[in-house]
Amino acid sequence: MSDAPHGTPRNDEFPNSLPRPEGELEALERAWEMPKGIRILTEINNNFVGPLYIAAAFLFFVLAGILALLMRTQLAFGDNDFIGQDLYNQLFTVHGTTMMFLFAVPVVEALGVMMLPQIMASRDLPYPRLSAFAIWAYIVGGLVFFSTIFYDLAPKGDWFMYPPLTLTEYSPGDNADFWLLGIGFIEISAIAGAIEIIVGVLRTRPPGMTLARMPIFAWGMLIFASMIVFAFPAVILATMLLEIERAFGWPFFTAELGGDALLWQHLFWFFGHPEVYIIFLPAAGLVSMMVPTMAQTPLVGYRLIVVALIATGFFSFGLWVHHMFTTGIPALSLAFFSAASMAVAIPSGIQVFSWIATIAAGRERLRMSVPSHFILGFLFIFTLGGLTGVMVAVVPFDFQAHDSYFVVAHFHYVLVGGMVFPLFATFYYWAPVISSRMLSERLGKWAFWLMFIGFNVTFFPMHITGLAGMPRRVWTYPGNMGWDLLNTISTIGAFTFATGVLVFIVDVALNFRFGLQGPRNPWNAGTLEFMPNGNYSMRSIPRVTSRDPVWDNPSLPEEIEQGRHYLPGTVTGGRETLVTSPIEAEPQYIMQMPQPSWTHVSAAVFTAGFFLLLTIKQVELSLTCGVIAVISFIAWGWQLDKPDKGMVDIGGGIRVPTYASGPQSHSWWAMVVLMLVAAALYASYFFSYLYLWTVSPEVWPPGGSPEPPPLLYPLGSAVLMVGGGIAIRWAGRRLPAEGARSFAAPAVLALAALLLAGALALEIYGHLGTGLSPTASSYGALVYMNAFLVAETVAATVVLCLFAAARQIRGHVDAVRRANFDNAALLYYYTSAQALFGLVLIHGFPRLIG
Amino acid sequence: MGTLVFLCLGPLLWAVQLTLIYGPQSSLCAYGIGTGQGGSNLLVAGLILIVSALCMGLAAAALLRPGAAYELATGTRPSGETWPFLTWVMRALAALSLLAMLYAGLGALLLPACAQLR
Amino acid sequence: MMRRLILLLLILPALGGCAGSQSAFMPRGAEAERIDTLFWVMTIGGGIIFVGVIAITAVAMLGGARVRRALSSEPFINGAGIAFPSVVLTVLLVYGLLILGAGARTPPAGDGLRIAVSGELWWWRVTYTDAEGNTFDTANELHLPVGEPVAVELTSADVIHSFWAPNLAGKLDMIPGRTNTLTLTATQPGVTRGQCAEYCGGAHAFMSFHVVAQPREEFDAWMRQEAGPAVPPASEAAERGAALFLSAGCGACHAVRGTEATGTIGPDLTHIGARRSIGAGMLPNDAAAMRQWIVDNQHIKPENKMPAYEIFTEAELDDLSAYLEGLK
Repeated sequence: MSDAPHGTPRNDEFPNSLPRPEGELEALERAWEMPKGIRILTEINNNFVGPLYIAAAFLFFVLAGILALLMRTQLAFGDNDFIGQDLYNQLFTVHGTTMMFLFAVPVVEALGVMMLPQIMASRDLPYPRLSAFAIWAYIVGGLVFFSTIFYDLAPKGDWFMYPPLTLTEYSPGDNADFWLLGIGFIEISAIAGAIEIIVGVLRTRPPGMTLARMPIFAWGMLIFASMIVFAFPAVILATMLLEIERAFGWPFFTAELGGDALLWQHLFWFFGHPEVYIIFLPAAGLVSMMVPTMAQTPLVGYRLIVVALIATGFFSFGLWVHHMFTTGIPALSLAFFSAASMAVAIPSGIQVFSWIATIAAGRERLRMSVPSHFILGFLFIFTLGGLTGVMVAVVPFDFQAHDSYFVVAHFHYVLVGGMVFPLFATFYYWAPVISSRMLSERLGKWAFWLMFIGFNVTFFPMHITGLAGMPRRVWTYPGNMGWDLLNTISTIGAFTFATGVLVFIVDVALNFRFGLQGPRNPWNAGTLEFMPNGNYSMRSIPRVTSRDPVWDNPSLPEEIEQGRHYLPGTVTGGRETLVTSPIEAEPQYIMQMPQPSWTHVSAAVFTAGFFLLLTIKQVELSLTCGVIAVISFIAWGWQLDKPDKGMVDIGGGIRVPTYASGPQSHSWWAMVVLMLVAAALYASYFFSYLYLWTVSPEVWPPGGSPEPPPLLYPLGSAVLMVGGGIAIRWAGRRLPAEGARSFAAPAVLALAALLLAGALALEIYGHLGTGLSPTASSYGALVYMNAFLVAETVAATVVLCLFAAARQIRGHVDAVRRANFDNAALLYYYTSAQALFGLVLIHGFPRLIG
Repeated sequence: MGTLVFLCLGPLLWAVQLTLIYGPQSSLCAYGIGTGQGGSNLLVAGLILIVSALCMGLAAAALLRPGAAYELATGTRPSGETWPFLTWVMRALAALSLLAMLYAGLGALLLPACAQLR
Repeated sequence: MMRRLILLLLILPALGGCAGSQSAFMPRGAEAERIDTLFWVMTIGGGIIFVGVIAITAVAMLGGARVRRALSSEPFINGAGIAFPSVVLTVLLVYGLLILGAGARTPPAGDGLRIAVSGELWWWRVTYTDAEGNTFDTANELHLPVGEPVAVELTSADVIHSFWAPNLAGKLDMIPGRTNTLTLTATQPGVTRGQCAEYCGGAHAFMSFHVVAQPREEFDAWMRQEAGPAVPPASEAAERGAALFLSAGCGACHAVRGTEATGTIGPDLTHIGARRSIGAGMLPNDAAAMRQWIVDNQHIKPENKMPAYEIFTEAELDDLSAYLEGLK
């Protein structure tokens, strides 16, 4: 590999010389050309799906905002009956759910999908079709979920859906199911996006962009996505448990049968508290991108900010009981979580003072553009929200503030201040990347002041309203409580804020013109996102030697556009990107990327159909959709894993392969992240098992339930799974030579899949034989839930094994082109390991305590 | 992967500490094992202090000897131009985690281990 | 003085109404007083920090070159962003834990009085047990002797509720299958209001109660009165109402001790006439309100578990409300 050229290179030091060969740019443009007409929907490139994703998320922000205005109108004064009780209960449930699940997380993910390739000078993120799938699934699922409010079908258990209120007994009808299935499904789409972002940030950076030079937004997105991987599985498990209890009566949350309502709260908040930081961290990353540009100076305290982001990511997982301070658990337990709430405040302090230091460091005074306005507004609001956050972290104070309007004020300060204001700053700042015109400075300032004043007028009084005794989630209140004036002020503020958003929408309508040839680096930023771009992102990929490459080398835009840097065309003839190593970002190989297609669109639509039809109990239609979705997935997968095209030259004397397998390949990384998701889900189950046992040991065997089946059953299951694993390992060593076919390996894969299914069947059969019923007690429900979770991974493994076998029979897998086989094997090992752990738990634990 | 583990050693130890103090504390208190007058529980309090000291000791060791910690996490010797940055971040994270662990352990000295206190 | 002044500024708008009837700003209980002090310490401290941050930001933007240079270094971040918050947070954590620990120092009075409150959709069942083990039910009203710590056992009959009487103490949840104990110490006599703080569906907004803190003698008199059976109807109308109450089947859900009405689904009505409200804080307690409630409760408090009784004639309603209001 070549030495990194330091400083501004002389002309003969560029990786690629001028003039570029004829037709190189045309070939690149052809490969990345957007499909025309209706086929635009098949496009998977970030320049199309990114803006679409942002637009959809913004739509949900406006819709949920309208619900908020309805609520504020209802609460404007006491004893009002503008909106009735039942509708109001649906309104706040849908408002909260939409803002959290359909706006906040998606919009941040959307910014990552759209901007990371620009910031990292990659052609696209590594799995563009996966993110396109996630986006379509989200749009269809989100719209159907939101529309339930129009049909009186919306959930009304609030966004946190606490059982037992949400059990069938207290919430009959399909309303709650729309939340559980609809949102559960959107969480899966968020996880798909997270996998994309993690691998994208770690593997598709430009050469030389080491972890020490990575723009802070990329750090923020990396930590954001990693947090999703560990936090979302907890709520997915919770959703599954609640839906199963609602549909089949397995008592996870019913106290009389050994369940516990607090189990839901533990699982939900293990997701729910990190969620706040999941939303905040990328926004903080955005601020760290904009402040240096507006101050025209490098970020002060870069490494401190990296430390702060990572620390926040971790500590936020130790806060979940923060939301359960009033549930009556021992004071010392509360103290642990109060302590973590204090600890997490320090990283926020680091970031705030780093931004202030950067503002002070500017050679000139901070440029008071619209983004600067929103950033300063953010600093004001977020600091206040952070301080009230420390207040509610002090346990005794939370006894009063919890579930009152004080908390409503606090978290709006943190979320709107911490996320919405930076987001609007970003809209103004990054609009030129995808718009041929800038947004208006004049309208932007109007929007800012209306939003800033409106926000504070709305939410500051709520601190007082709450401590003056007004609880949350009440649709009205008596007019003689002294809360009227405060509420009227809040309502006026809400409409002021909404006017600000409206001004922004007008600005977008007037000035936003979709196009990739916008003004060049209008803010004079030091990072790469304002470089000249096409649908292929940048013409050539520069070697990055500092944190602000454009400031170091002002001629970088021209050099990139002329194709003087790495990979100035397409070396494989199709869509491709350069994959680099995760820490030092050295070029490793060229990844061949998928082309536009309908498969992910139909997969998304029919997956959404499967979940939504299941919600309204249309089982046959739902299953039909499920089958079509699976077929779409298989058709999609069939087009991946393109054959090796040999070594290619990307310039500067660097030759890299066009195929990779094993731990170097991007698909191996995706599989590992997916396994982390599955492991986090199973860990949540493991927690639930032990937790319910501490709550209700009386329903465990031998006293409360039949004893587990004889040890012969689990041993048999174990032998089947281990046998399958050994067979796969054997076959992996004997894959046919390049280009040859073999039928032995496919046969082994099919056999292994069969053994795995057999092991699962034996496990279920054993428990049925003891007379254990899943509806009799939480113990029975947990035992069968383990089998259910194993069945899920087994089903995925079987499909993947059979898929790999079919690919082999068709001659698409051999000793070199083996990623398909390796992935199937990897998932097989994981599934068996998880199932073996399950066997030890389910058969060992009752024997241990009995 | 190993490098990422190295980077996050401090917060990982903090996570271990939280799991090992919260898990046993809530189960032992739920079963009333060792609980005495007024909800105090010397068994639980002792356990918390020992676990906290242990985890904090390990974090301090990583803070002082990053090279050794790197070899332990990745099995290779530190190299590359990013090494100074990685070490700095790792040590700063370990320092913050030490503070967080201190905070978490502090409660055991000030409050009875199993009382509801309402 | 400073506190009172800020308090006045903050809740001036609130003073217009019947302020203090349900407010953490007007502590009348031991825990609420401790939290009130904590609140003011944190608010004033937090306010100073907030003003400081804004001032430093302004200096970073507008200050002279020298002061801006001083602010633009890592040592400044280390000091203002790490060292300062670490010190403040450590102090605050210890202070918060000490206040939390203070809850342990008020063991409940030893006179054997036990109070249990059960949250039900959407009202409060209150059960008193005296030292001799005599027990009686009442609803939506909690009477406490002033100056004595009293343990209140909180449970739920259906979904999660949360017992919040902000003038007396912070809230504590009522969770199915669990019993939480809240120690209340009223420090001043008087009536305050409380409300369910955990969203419990439907009429969650209408699940209120009153707390009546009384000197010991008054409290004992109230206990004696409440423990006894219902007073016999005092007028002819009330007698007709009593008969109607039984014949219309009200007794299937409600109990009036000393009569054949022994239902336990709804609130015990033995001394309904002596309570402060109807429908868990919905209406003031008088004959007109009682009539209205019987006929129109589904409008007054939608989704509540009592059907609207539109079968009664005007005269019958007069009789029923005369009877019920007489149950002092």
